Amino acid sequence: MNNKHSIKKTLFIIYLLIIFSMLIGNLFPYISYERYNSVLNDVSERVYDIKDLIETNAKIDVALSNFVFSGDRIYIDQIYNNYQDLIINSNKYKEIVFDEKSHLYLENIENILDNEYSEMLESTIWSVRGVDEEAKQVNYYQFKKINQYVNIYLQMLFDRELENSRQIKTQLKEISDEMTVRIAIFMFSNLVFILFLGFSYGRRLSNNLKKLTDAAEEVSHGNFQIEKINLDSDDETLLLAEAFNKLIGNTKSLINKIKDNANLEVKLHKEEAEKSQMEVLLNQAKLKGLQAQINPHFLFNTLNVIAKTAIIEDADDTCELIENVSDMLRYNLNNIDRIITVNEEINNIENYISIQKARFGERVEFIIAIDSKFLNYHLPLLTLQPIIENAFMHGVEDLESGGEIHVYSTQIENKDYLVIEDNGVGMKQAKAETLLMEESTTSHSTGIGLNNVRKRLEFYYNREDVMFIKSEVAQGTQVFIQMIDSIEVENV
Amino acid sequence: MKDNYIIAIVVIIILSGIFIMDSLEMINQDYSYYKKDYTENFILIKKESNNYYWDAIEKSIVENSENDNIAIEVLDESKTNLISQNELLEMAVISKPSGIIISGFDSSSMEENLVEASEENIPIVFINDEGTNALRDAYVGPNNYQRGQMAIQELISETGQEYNVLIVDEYGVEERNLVIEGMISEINNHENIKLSMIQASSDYRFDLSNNIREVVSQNPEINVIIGTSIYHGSSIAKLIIEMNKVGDIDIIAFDGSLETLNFIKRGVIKATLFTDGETIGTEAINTLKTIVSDDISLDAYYVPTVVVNEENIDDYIAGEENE
Repeated sequence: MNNKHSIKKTLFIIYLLIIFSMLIGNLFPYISYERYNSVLNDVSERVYDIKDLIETNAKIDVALSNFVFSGDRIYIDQIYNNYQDLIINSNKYKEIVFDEKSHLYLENIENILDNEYSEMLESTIWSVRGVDEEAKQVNYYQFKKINQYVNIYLQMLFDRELENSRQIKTQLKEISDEMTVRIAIFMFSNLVFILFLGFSYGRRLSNNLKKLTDAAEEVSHGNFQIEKINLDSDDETLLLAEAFNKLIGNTKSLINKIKDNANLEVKLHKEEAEKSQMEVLLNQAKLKGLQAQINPHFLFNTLNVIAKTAIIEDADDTCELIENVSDMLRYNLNNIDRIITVNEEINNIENYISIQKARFGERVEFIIAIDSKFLNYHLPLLTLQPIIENAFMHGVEDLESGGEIHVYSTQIENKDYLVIEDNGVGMKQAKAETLLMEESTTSHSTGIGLNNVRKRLEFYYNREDVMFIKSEVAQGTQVFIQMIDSIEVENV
Repeated sequence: MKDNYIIAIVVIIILSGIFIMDSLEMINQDYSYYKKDYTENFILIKKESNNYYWDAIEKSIVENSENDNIAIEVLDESKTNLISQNELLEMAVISKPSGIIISGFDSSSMEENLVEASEENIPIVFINDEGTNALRDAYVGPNNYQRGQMAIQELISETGQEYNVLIVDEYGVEERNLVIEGMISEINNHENIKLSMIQASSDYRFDLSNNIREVVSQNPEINVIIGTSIYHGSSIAKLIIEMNKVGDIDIIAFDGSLETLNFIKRGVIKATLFTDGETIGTEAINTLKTIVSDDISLDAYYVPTVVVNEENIDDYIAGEENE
């Protein structure tokens, strides 16, 4: 699980952002409320402080009046204590005023308190102790006037600070309103972005899952030929897609392997069938051969006796004929599945022809004209003899004279052929082809018909077009055998 | 697409950061405390409160002190419940400011406090009324004697006619001698102009109309009324309209209020002489600054007086309306 952005992680971030936005959105009204509350309290306190200054100033006036008219010294402490308070508090307050005007008023108050106020206070107190009633009266009223001026300044300060506090309250209200708007904008914009984020992520996730489910559906219907799934993702869906792609790939290769095995099996079956057919043909030929081998030693001994008798009687032709028959029979008694050269096969048919010449005399002429390059080509044993025998039986046998059997090599469409051609009675083409396709019913010296020859050639060359026949009534017959070099045969 | 939500997260974080920083700055802004930044503090004692002329003077004084580290404190009766200019002056002097600007009107009655200011080295600049020369460091305002002459000169444009003039003065002839002196000197130069009476209107806000109605009724020869206060012009005009004497009695005013200008436009008031309050304020503060910085006394600075009558009323009424 090395994916950078797992679904869990992404959802966690989205939840975190929502909580964060909510937290900020709720925290700030609280912070600003606390702050505004503190400022408002501070502002109210200031106004009350000034009110205290005004009261202190009034207390001095009252205490002085009481002292002037009663002469009771008890009021002197009140006067000085309140005066000290007035000095201290006005000085202290001067440091925490809101604006220039308030500061100016307090500076004026300070100047008055330090000078005329204290002087007239002292003068009045001293004049009370004296006997000069007029001075006492003048000083008292002069102090009252100065006390009034201080009071005026304090009132002006009070009004000013009240106005300032009102302005601050208004300002706080404006800030509070602006804060509300800001929080609303903040919350709204964050909401929009979080929605966008959620929607965007959700859509991507949904698209990716849809791609996967579509692909899975295709596979469930047996269609493995689907494109590789590419996802725009780096979360678990990507892992899922990669696993799915791998699964599809493995399944495809498994299916191909099974198909190949099946094909191979079919091919093997076919080959086995062909092999067994070949074995049947060979067995057939062998059977025919065995039939011909019935007591061959007796036959050869007999033929030798006849040949010696012919020599004794000076019948040389008979002797040669018997020897040819003997050679031919010996050749024919060879193993039927043996492969021999064209040259060997030609030697054999020459023996056969010399025997047939003894039979047909001048009625039939044999012509052999084969290119020497073909003499070393290979063929199955007894390929040519059955064909020549067929040419006698179905071609020239019935001719009174002028019969010809040609054995020659030729090229047709760049392919080499051996051709056995006779000018006998011929036959219809259909019948000629039947000879190639059907088992022979006619008795050959070898017991092997054209059909057997064709099939053995086809097995040997492992192809089907190696032999064909052309014939026409009264026009003779041509049998074509394709010649293939031994090397090519091995390759086949 | 993959990067979209990364961008969204970054945007949210940036937005939140801006919001938090900005909001914290807004919440924690400093609501207190004033730190003294002035080197001089001047006190302006207004003779009238809630009056366009004195408000213009205050406005220009405040504006012209803003860039010079000067604090201006304004005292007037409405703020202090003190009717007397002298009491306001006394209160100002014991506050020990760097300078005081006050009307020179009735300066002799304020002599004690003016002397006290002088002893405390507090320079005094009189404005609007020249007052006693010895009690001031400078005067900024109209040439009142000349204004008196100009008022009478407005009448002689129409030759041959006889004028019986009633002068209405704010507190009586003894107090407003310069304007009255100027008028009388000019009246003496013209045989066709006679001074019928000088009527004091100490409490003009209540009994001015009754007093003038009575005087005019008892002295039917009066065909000119000159109101020397900034309140007189429109009050007399309303009275004359009420008495159906428009055209019979010419009114000469001494103020530039829009109401007076409108009466000129309507032909009820013949002319008015006024001096620009803002110019007085500007010159007053500049003069006080010079006195404080150079430690010298200056003489009078006369701000020009303008005569507005039916010939040039359109130039002024448009300007006033715009203001």
